[in-house]
Amino acid sequence: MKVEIIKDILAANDAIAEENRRLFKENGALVLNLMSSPGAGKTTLLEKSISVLKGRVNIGVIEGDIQTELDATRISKEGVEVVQINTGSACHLDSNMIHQAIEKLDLSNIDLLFMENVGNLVCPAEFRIGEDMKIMISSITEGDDKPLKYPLMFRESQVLIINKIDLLPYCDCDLKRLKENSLKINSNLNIFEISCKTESGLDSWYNWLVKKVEENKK
Amino acid sequence: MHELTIAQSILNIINEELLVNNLSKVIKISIRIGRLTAIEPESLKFCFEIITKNTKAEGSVLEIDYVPIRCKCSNCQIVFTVDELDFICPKCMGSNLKIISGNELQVVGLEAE
Repeated sequence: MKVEIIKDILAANDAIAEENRRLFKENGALVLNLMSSPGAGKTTLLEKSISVLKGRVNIGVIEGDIQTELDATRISKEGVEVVQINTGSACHLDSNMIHQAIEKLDLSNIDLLFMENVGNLVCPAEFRIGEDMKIMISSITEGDDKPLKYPLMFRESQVLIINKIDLLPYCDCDLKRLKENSLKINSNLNIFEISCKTESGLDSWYNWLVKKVEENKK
Repeated sequence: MHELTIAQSILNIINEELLVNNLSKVIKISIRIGRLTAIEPESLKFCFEIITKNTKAEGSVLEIDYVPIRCKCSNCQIVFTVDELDFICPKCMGSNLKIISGNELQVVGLEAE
């Protein structure tokens, strides 16, 4: 017997993502899904952003890692609410993991929620988790060809943060080409060039965050 | 790496359909995967084979239709296929494009008895 069906394979995930989104909206939280390869600087960027903005914005963090609570420990030193998810073997966060993590957070007290995804340039881009925006970090040490090799994440993101620009003199990465390749995949990308080490470019990132949180409150 | 999760989701959909239609053995399952997704077909087939062991879908054929990326230019309205991930209109060079296909990740058919 032939059964005619058309069903989205990720429908179950997407339904929970919508429910997460509803909860975030109800509580007026702006939710950013932070994605990158391992070591691109997600956690360091979070530490910097939180230490500068925590007096002005109520921030919460969901940390996704395969193992350990190292990142949650780092973030909790900044004095904000943080929940660690250990995915075990899964290479990405999914909407159900986030749904369970939300229960441990006081969402009514959060204006800006960062969800730091598992370090991976492929899989996290495929799974909606209820975010308002996908933010990806690509660092200079990864080279300028990553948009072409891993197009989905560049295509799905609204913001690209190019980190470690202080290392440009020591690497073969061509910043101009990296930006061209990224815009070729997604011409709407909002690009920030930063260095978490020297703090170059971080002010415009902070200003953008504050502006987005304020817009979300309206 | 996430093909195992996708394979599990496919199996969940199959199991629901078997239950609804009162069927007990899967012969073939057809799916559609857009080229813009990050799914590796061979890896998905491998994961599907593993995950369906000792289930009603063991030994079934996973038929994959790989859908090309097609865009419509919002400026000059032409429809074209994106081959080299160049998201630029070949006619007017505009980059304001609407994706018509290439994002699919769907189960589109089931053959069972």
